Amino acid sequence: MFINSRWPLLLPSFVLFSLACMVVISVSVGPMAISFVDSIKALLVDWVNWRAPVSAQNEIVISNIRFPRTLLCLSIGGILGVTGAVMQGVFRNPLADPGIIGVSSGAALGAGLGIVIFADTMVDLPDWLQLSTVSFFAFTFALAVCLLVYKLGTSSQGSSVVVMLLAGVAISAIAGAGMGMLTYIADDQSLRDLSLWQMGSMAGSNWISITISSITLVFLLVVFMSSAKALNILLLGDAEAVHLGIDIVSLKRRLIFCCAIGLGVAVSIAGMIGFIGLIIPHLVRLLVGPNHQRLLPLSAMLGALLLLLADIIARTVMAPSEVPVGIITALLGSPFFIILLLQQRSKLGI
Amino acid sequence: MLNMATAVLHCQQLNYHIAGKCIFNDLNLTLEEGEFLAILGPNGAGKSSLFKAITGELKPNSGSIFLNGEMRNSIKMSEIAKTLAVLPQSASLSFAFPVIDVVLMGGLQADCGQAKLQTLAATILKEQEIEHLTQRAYPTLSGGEKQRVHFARVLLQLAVGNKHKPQLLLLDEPTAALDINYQHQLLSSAKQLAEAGVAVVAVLHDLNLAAKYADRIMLLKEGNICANGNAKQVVTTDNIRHVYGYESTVINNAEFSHPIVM
Repeated sequence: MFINSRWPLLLPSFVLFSLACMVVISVSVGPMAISFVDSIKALLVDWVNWRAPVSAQNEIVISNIRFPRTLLCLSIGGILGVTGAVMQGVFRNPLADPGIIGVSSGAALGAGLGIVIFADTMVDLPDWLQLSTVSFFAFTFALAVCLLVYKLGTSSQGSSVVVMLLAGVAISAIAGAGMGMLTYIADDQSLRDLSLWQMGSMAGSNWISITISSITLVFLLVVFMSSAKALNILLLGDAEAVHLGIDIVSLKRRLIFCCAIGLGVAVSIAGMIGFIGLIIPHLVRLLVGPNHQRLLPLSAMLGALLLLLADIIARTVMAPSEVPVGIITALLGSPFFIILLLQQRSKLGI
Repeated sequence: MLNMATAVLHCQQLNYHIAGKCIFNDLNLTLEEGEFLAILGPNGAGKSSLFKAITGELKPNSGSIFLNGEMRNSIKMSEIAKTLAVLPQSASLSFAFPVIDVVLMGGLQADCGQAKLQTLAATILKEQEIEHLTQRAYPTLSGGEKQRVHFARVLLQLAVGNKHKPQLLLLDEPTAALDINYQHQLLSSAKQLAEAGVAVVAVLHDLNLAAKYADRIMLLKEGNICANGNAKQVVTTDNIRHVYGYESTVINNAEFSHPIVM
């Protein structure tokens, strides 16, 4: 019934191939035109020390600007895709998206507090520590919101969509007020930083943010994949999971904690990029079914692919200026999602 | 007096009350290897609460539950899952898993490999006559089909469980969503398991089904055990009047091995 039943490796291979193509496109497009062939050569020079005839200028643009940004898109997109999938599993509800239930705005408020309040004290710290501090604030707030929404919206019958969405509205409003307050008291530098992520942007890429987000992605994939079978069973219901020998309290605690880490890191680096955590797991479920063992890695890959695509559009559509990538993901994602829902809801009963 | 040490399930002086209302009081229950116990009683008699106390979903205010002589609370959850399987009244799975995946969830604690699990699952699906549903998406099934899929999942859980200890199967109103032929199919499968040594507890509504399949019937009323024994002892006009307040006719015909309630 799903396309993976006969050729389980077909889809992952296809996605990986698309990712590779998208990376080449991503480093080729921009204000300075570089041909695909030259881009591939420049990437090879960087990564396998192959001595290809590449102009120094092209090489610098690609290895210092475009390639780091591409890598950041991949890791942040992967984090957003996989955390979206896990949150939907934990909430046992396909509408539980970090953006919709208010976790992203909570994380943004945390990151905002980190930047504005500690702006003066943090100037002397090394870059990686500044980013980690902001991420930590974002993580703490994301965790608090996750737990709050979970407590409010979930009963033994699963989670109530209405309560979850309303909680999201309320929390986003509170976070919005907090962000407004921060904007009001912020100095010029902080203001610039604040407005950078409210709409989401990949422009702040550097090797520190790439390192932090890649480590986070790998960590999340390891933790989530080790819980993939248990997550499947969790969808049956809490009582049934207990009867099958799963310690649901510690499982959920672990998963929510890790989701909050992922969102804290993603939001503090790239700001609020919505819809990836909602659309991607849906799309993957339609392709390969709801089994988390396949859903999770594919959500990470397709999340990376979608964010990279969105970033390419964000960089080119109004070149030489950039559109915030969050706007692109919302524009790409929401109509797509509505069409998918209309097409598939009767067929699959989701 | 039954020997507690050899009992698969032993509930000792269970008490449970919520908001001042007593649900059950000083309830004792012992189940031997291979015994099929049916729990019946009118709505609100405490059947579901007692069932949930045994499955662990509900914590009694006092009293203890022993599984194979060990305190329930002191056994690891994954170990309990190897000896005790529960068929819920209904499970709310809204994600489009194919039926085979739902059944395979029963094999979570299995020590054997994936290939063996697949074979076992296929055999169980065949035995339960739901082979044709194998690749269907779970949410598209009817209520009765879902119930049979979960029964297959529970059967797999027992099949891969701990074979060195007697196992326990708990069924919560298993026949509610089923047509008459599948009611009998499910309960005869449970009966076969009992004959193979599994202790079975089923909460049932239908006295005739209970009389046909159970070795022992327990009638509950307001949290107390009103009658406890084999079908001939329990299914009587007097007991039914006392527990349900219904004037029934009980036929004891030599043609049938069990009494029939009209």
